Amino acid sequence: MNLKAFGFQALVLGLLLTVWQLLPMEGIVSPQILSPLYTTLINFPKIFARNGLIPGGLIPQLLTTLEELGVAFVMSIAVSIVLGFLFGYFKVLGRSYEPLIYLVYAVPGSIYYPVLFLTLGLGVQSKIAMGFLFGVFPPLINILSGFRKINGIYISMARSMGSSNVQLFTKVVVPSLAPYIMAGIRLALIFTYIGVILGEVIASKGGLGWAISIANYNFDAPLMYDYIIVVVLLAVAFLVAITAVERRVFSYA
Amino acid sequence: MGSNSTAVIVVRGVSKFFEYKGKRLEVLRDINLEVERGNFVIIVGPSGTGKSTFLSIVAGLLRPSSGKVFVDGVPVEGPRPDRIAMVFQDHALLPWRTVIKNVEFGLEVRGVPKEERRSRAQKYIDLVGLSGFEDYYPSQISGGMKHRVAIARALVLEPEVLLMDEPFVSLDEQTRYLLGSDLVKIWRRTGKTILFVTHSIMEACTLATHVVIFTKRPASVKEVVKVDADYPRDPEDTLMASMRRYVWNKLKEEIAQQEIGGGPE
Repeated sequence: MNLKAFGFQALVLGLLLTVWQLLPMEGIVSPQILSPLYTTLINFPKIFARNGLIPGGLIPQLLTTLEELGVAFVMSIAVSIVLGFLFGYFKVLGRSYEPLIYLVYAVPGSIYYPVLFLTLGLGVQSKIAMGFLFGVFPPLINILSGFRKINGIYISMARSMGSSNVQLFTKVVVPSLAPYIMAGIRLALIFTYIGVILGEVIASKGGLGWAISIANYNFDAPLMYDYIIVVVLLAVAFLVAITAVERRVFSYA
Repeated sequence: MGSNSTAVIVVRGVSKFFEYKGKRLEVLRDINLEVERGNFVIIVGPSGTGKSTFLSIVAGLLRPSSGKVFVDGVPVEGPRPDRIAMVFQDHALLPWRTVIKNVEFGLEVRGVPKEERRSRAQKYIDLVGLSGFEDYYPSQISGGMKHRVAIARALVLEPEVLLMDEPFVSLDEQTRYLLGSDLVKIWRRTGKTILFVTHSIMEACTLATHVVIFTKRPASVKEVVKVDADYPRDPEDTLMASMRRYVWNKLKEEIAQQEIGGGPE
């Protein structure tokens, strides 16, 4: 990374952390609402305590969230790729169902909560469903727009060389779509994560989001922010991993 | 252009209509043309007159509304990669493939084994002067080099006929001139029949054995001009200059009419 850009990023991060420390310390915001940075960090080891507010501590919550996220993510990717290719490749299907996809996508996600919690309960299933509903549309829409942007001259070139439909698909269509699929995978990860954590915060029996809301209801601000830090670090780890994969796959660009 | 016996491309009464928003647009009207084996034929015509459409029909990528195209006496009813290869406008290299993998594309489609693919592709990469760039991606080489790759990709199929749709249109004048004279060398070495479309009268007169002048839309063949000059040609000599003046005057009649008449754009 560019050193200058890194400097600016460090500057903003430093400022934010300073504000985090100063606001509660100076009494501008109650420490019960925003626990100061230092207090929060000092409290961090308590996150592992097995018999505190959160039974079992961090590890079971982390595993629950990862399980929900993993299943929701794989489902989102699989369904969006299958539907994306069906609708993109078979124009009749696309014309019939694409408007429906945009319609469902436009529905605010919050109206799913009551239905999902009532039908699937408070366990992992309803979180997986939330993650899936949040995660499936962005990559699907991305893949469909990728289909519209396939360079027609590549198709003509391949046909003039005698490509069969299967060869056209594997040698031109799929590689043309690869950047859109990769961007879709990134979006799916981001949005399933949002859906899963949101579901846990609202109503659940475990997971990082659940721990945040338990800490919140018990007025344990440092513990709540410790869990929020975990959620943020996990997001950063996902993005770093995905960027690394993208760099490997698209070395030609 | 001579008798039927040596003609490798024969175009008989080809017309093409497009339906657009309920309107019928006539692009080609009754085109007749014969291209003899080993000739380098360049089509010039007013902009938007359907030269590329015509080339796509010869390539078998587009069906004519009426009429027929024969290559080696066989009617063209779809792509014929064994006989006809096309070089597209703006090179159409696949960005995710290296130079050599791009050149191998047609062989891969045909199921040629990997070893043979490599050696055949290498031969044509050498021919177009790109030895050493085999493993570069298109984004890493210059515009002129990309066009050389596109030419190698077409030649590797060892077709009889090379169709070129304004292949050098996006290049600067110097690169264009250099690539043109290299194309002449490649053409003379391989003995291919080339059918080439361009806007550039200069390019047409300097490269072609025959210049075909298209009329304004709906296009038909206005005139076929034989260019009787040896290669390499000097664009500055008097024959070339008078040739250009002649073609330009013919073309001007068409352009003037098109300007006044206006196209159904």
